[in-house]
Amino acid sequence: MAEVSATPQRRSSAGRWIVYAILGVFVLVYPFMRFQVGPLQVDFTFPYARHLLILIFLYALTAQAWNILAGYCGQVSFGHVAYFGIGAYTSSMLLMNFHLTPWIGMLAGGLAAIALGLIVGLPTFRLTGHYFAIATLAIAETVQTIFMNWNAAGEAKGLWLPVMKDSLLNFQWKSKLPYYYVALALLCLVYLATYGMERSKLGFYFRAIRDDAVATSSLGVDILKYKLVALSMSAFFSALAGSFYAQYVLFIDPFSVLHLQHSVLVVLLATFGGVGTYWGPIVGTAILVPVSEFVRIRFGGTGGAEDLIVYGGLIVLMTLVEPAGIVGIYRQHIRPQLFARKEMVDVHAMAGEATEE
Amino acid sequence: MPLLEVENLTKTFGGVVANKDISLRVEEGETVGLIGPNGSGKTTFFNLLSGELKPDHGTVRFRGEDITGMPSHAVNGKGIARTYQILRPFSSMTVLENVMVGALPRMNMREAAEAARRFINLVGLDQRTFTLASALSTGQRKRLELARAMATKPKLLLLDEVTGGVDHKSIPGLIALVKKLHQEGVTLLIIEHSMKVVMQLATRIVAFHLGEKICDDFPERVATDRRVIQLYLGKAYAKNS
Repeated sequence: MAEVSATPQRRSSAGRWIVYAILGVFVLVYPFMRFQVGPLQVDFTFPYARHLLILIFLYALTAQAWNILAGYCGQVSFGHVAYFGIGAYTSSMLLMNFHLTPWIGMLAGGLAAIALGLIVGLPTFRLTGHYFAIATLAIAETVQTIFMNWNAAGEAKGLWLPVMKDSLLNFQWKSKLPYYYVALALLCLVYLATYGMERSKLGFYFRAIRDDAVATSSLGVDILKYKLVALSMSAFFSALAGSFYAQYVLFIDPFSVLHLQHSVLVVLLATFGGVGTYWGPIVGTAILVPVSEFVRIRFGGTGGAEDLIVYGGLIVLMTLVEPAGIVGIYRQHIRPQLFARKEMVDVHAMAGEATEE
Repeated sequence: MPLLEVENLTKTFGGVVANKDISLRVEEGETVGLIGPNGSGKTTFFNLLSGELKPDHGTVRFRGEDITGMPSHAVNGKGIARTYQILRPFSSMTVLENVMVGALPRMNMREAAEAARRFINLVGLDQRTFTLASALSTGQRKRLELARAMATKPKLLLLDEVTGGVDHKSIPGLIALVKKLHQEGVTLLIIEHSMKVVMQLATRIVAFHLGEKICDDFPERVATDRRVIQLYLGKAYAKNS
């Protein structure tokens, strides 16, 4: 019996695996790369080079987390910063008040985000498409307002995390190197979870809900339950990213971890790369984050407006050219024979047909 | 005990009474045809049975159990499946994946894949197993929807205009397929506009008009019923039948 695939039919060529291996090795040795080839001097050992990839890993993590709910399950959230912020605040407040190691704080943050997700999801998942998106937006703004006025969370002043000795337990280091590998590990974690989801019943149910929720329910699938599962997965990983951010920057406030801009950014990154695809989020992030950094450095200023203008332009361009994102461009134009979406028909069968419908 | 027992089922949308005091009984093994003009409440009736809508009054009993007002996924769990008049395929998924969604709530991945392939063969879509649903023709999508509904192992199957929009040449094949499904042990309740199709399939016909049941009898009697002819079939049918 032929193999059953849970994902759009594509045969993995050996070439793909070679590319993956090369990228994998590159990413592992990147922070140590310092060499000279003729006149070209490469040095990734200094802090900013590592910081750039840490940003990419961090944002790819949040983008893929969002993608699980919005891309695979079709529930588009515009308030995902709420989970990021809950993660950041939970681990930080547990650290500052109970000296709890941020690793456990991170898990607690993940659980808190899931709890928020359930509170958000139960009433809003009954709303159709656009109303759900608006509701998520409103809830995120509410969460930000709560933290802005919550004394124990530092209100609008935010929280300064204590500088502690370099250690794994403290989740704090002077060098960026350990942060690099932790961020990479978290990114691999969310990608592993997505991989498992794709191939399991969850993957089927999520995609079916996205394509037609009414039909899915008529087939015996509890769509509310599975939407909540997608939301929980999505919220959990977003919160992990938030905790990481808190430990990396050692300062959080409602404007850095609970701002609307983050919600929009997450949507842009995943959409630009290819919403609903596996590699989309990381591809989108790997392109847009360096672009944003370049714009910020090149054009100076606060960096707040210029890079969003460039983002906006790129998104408009992408929407006009290929709404399926970079991965969509790859599938349609670069390797159409592997992804012939409209032409996945057995040509022999077509020839053999008479009156068959 | 009848398989399905509907009593005084009523549903109103604002000022419109879509279903008014509908009472109906379906025995196991029957094929009941549901006919009537557009807007007579047939699809609303299906929606009430399948759990997509909640009735204002009345009860629905399935195999003796009161399932009135249950959500659609629970109703399906009890053994009722349906197809849609306006097709609802999972466009981004292949035929196999579509049918597997129906099977997965009851079994593991491997079993679901095997069961799905069986139903895909049953409806004659095996050549299209790995085709994306978005690339199928209308007739193929109808077969897909049948396979997908059957994968939920229903005891009662609600077919909503299964021959709607299908070309003449393909209708006998579809009728034969529906008969095959019936032989698989599924009781059928079918909404149909084509009297030719209904007369070939139904052991009993129920006629709706403006939300009310106006006739419930053997096909030959319904086809010659004065009210049915006047309100739905038209005098020309009476002359030609």
